[in-house]
Amino acid sequence: MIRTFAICSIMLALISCQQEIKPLPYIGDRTDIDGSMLEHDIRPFEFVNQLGSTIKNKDVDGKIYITDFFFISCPTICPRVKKQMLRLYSKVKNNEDVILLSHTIDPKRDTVEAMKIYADNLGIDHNKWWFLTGDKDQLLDIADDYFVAAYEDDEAPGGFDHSGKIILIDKEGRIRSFCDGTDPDSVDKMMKDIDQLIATYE
Amino acid sequence: MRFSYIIIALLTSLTLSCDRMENTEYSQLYDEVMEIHDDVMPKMRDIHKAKKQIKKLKNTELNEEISQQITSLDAADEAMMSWMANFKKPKMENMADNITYLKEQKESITQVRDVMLNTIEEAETFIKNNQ
Repeated sequence: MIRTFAICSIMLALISCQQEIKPLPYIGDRTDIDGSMLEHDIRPFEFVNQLGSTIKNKDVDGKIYITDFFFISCPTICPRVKKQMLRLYSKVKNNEDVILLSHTIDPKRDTVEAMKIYADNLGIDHNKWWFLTGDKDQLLDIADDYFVAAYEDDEAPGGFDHSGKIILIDKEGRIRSFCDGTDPDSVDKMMKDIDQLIATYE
Repeated sequence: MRFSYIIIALLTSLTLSCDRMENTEYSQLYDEVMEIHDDVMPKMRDIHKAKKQIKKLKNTELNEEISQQITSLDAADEAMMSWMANFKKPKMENMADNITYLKEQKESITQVRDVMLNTIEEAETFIKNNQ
């Protein structure tokens, strides 16, 4: 009896150890081409940040990034997500491998100037957290890229912009985790995922 | 003397209950406005989806109709975006003004909802008929 218990305990311990070191999964569509499985990709993009600089895929290459969609005048969900994004910002602000990207879905009103004021009011480092604006269709297309993946196993109603989702992208541009930005517990889990992802590059 | 106390007490409780009724109406109206908004907001995704599908239609004879559909979809999107940009939870001193504002906003978001739903329906029918 004692021996069985001991064996079970060791097995359990081994399983939990394995889970500790298990890398984060890849999230999103896997296209079968020539028999090989591809991870979900983010299409090429070109946006402008709150400083007026052009931001393309190459500018986030080799960076882990945390991303969401917002708009300044958003009446319901965005203020709650903003609070959680600020928590994530505080967590990673001293790690130069990690940046934050918030895309507006209201480029007509969220101009470079408006976003600069918005970012100034948040008191954040403009080189650490970019607020991106650009062509609306392109912004929505990129939202589809991020959220198609995140919605795969999520039947929750709500559009991409009202989902309050926050997505974690690795240094190779692959989606590794997402959370509900309106729920602090879900964001706590994301914080652990960020640590886990950073650890895989060390 | 005692009679005037009773009158004052009655008036005070009447005023208080009126305030309470106005506060309840205010919260109810605000929730209703938000509910209409929250219900239809996910449809913004359908606008984008329909727009993409319409752009893929190749028939050159349809060019004019295609651009009309796209204009309508953009206008429906803009109707919601500008409503959101203009809407503020009212915090005026006079509760009656807040209630008037919310009643207007309820009407306005209802119109936005109808425009969005009709435009999406028309666009989806157009796609179905021309694929």
